[in-house]
Amino acid sequence: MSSSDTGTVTYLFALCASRPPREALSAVPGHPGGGPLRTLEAGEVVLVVQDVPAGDFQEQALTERLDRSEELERCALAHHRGVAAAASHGPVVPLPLATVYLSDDNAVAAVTAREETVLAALKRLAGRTEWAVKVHASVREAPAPPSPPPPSPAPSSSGSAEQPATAGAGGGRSYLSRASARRRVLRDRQERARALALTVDRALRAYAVDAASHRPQSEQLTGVKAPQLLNAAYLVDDARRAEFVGALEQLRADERLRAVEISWSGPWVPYSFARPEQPAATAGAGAGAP
Amino acid sequence: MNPAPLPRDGTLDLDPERVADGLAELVLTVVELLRQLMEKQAIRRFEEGTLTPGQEDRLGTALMLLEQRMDDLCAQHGLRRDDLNLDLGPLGSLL
Repeated sequence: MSSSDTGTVTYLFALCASRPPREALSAVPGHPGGGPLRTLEAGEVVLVVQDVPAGDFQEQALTERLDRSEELERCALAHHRGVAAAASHGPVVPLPLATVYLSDDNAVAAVTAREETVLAALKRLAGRTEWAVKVHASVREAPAPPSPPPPSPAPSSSGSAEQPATAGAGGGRSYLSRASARRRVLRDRQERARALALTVDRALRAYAVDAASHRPQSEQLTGVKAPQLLNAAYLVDDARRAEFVGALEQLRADERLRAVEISWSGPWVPYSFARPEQPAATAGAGAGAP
Repeated sequence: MNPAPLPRDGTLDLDPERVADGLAELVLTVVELLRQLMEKQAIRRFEEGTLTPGQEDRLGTALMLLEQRMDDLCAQHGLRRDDLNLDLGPLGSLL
């Protein structure tokens, strides 16, 4: 490891198959406090990089920064700007947020060592984009059955341990049976909603080259007061884009899917399908044949 | 793509004036977890029919009182029942 004495490290945004036009990169600010975006070459692969202050990207400083949601957002936006600039002219393999190397040489060496997998990934992603689809339980549906109303006066404190059945005048029993019914209704509704989300997923996979399911986001993150049932990404051929979006619109209009809310965004740089390490080909084969 | 930052971000606020509320929320979340576990277990036993009517009644009454008490405590600390939760990252949410 050759440490840099300039006080900067090399931040890697994305890998491309060819050099992006200079104007596309120079127009992008990248990470604050860093230099202009530039390119490096590792065999046939072009790296889009930026010199960033080493202090901001040391392990400890970075962990602390990314723990704060505003900092994380700023960092993610800067990263996305760099990736989007690299993607403006052709396929890219976007790198995970905060991929840094001590020097240009280290970055080039790391990519050179994986040149073949990177080239294969670039080939696989060419002419394809990612679409994000989220399915929530519909907010129009009653959020939860009413909780049992507090019934008439609580039983005169059941002092002795072994009191007969009359102690609560049946109030306790009826509470239990109402709670049991409520739980059953909730469970049934959840199961139905999950099955519907699965239907949506299956329908969409038919139009996609590959699909990835992410962990459902919390209500805090989505701002939607309903559980997220599906958080998926689909890799779609540009040629089938219209079909895919058509399928989404059809699903949204489907009367049988009224209990769920479908939302989508795209096209995106294929972040979810870009890990060169992943044996993506096999995942794709599995997803392609539902 | 990036939702606006929400006021409740699941962190414990160490501002001396508000730390008590943050702690109350955390403690009530744990109590609520236990209450839900007990209720779940009670309902399971109830549905299995392995309880005597007397046991059912006592259990139901206890759960009912606990539920009311939780509502009172939440009201005292200006919390909604929905606030009592923890995001456990990859494990999903606690409740």
